[in-house]
Amino acid sequence: MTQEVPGYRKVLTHLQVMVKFSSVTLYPVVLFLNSLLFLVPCAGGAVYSPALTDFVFVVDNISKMFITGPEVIKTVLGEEISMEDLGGARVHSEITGNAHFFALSEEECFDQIKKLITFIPWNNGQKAKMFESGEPKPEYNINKIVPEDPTLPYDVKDVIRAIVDNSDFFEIMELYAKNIVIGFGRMGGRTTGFVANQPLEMAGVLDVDSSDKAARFIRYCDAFNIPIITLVDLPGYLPGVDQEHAGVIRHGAKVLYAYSEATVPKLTVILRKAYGGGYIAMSSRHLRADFVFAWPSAEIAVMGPEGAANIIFRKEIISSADPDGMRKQKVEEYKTKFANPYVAASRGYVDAVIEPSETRKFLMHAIEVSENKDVTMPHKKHGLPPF
Amino acid sequence: MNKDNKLGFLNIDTSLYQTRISNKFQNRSPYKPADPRIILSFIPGTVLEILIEPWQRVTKGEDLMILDAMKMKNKLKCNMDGVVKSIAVKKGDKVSKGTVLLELE
Repeated sequence: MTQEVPGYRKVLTHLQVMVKFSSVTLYPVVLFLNSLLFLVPCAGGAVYSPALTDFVFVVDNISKMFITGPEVIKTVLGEEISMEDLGGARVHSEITGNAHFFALSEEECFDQIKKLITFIPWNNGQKAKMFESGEPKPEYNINKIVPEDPTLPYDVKDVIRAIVDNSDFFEIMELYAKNIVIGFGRMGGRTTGFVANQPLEMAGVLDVDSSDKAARFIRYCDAFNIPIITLVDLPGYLPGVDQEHAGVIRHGAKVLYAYSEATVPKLTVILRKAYGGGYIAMSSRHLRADFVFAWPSAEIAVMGPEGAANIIFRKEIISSADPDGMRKQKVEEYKTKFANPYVAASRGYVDAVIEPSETRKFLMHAIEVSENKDVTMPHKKHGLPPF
Repeated sequence: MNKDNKLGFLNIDTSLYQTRISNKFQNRSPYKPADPRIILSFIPGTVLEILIEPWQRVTKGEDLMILDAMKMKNKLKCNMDGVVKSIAVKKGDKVSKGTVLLELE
């Protein structure tokens, strides 16, 4: 903490500048915590400096952030904890969600910064630089990634890699709330933000942490003219007392707020499950998505067939001589009637049911068409998102 | 990076989904309704004074302890009529949030 006094003053000036910037989101603010270029550790009021930036990079064993350090915790509580366990790079990447990029070495961190810069524009009046387009790598075969059975997992990042230019997907917050995947890729050379449910982790549910993670990223894309592609495959919100008591309603609402507020092009692809409130939240037509595509495997319904059959056909199942057989029959009935994209499409909530192999073509075309999308919002000082 | 690559099952609306289960979800503590007979520290701090003795009769609203926390001398009040069954801390103890301070009966 030898640099603390001059460093702290620097941080405060920096802080004022950043608050000014972030209130109008004029410039992207990127800051990294590093022994060479910033305070180590970053403690007390100084931590608000990184917290107010758009992206925080941390390096394993070097970066540390906390409001009250181990010393204070020891004096007040008698609890002993190392700086690393309290607020090390790994803690902020995996548990707190304060850091966006985790690197094992400073070199890796610098490479991440260089790469991020290529995806974002210089200011909020511009678009990100165009790059030359390239086809996705053939090893990502989009027809073979998603299993048909909606209860089986797969890695949704492979679907993204099968869609984006050169299969180059730059993930953000890779280690935090892994049940949702966010990051940048390019479609026809244009920077695009991706938000995707990850069925491989926690079945891809929305919960407090994943809602927080997604909502902020959606607002980032909106602030810097980056179109958003949403890939949907989720069973709904995570049930549980801990989630409800942690305020999953308010946190989940952030995703709905962020999507409906965003005026950048919003494209949605429903890969498989899209049930209930989760379906609404994931950039549905109801939240002003510009284009909604669905694969033939899509199931757009109020809940999964098992749950729905149990509720809707409750009486028939209970009064039947063979309740288990009846339940199975009703589940099948529900599956054939509602577990498809066509009911939603007939109501105008889906624009087209497309083959997986056509996804890239359709998305690139949609992005091109909506290139000049311009929405004027009514004047207001600021909105009131469910912070 | 990911030590726990094993797939488990997660039940959402009676459907079982095969997926990785996060540590946070696995380690979550099951919900227990709060027991009014057990007084917990609501804030991390230091026990400054204990105003009651074991087996003393106490009434609702009575001061039980003074907990020095966040530069404040916080009074812990009794939330029911009863008898002090046991006191789990002594004067000067540092306690974290949620520590059992005393039990009533």
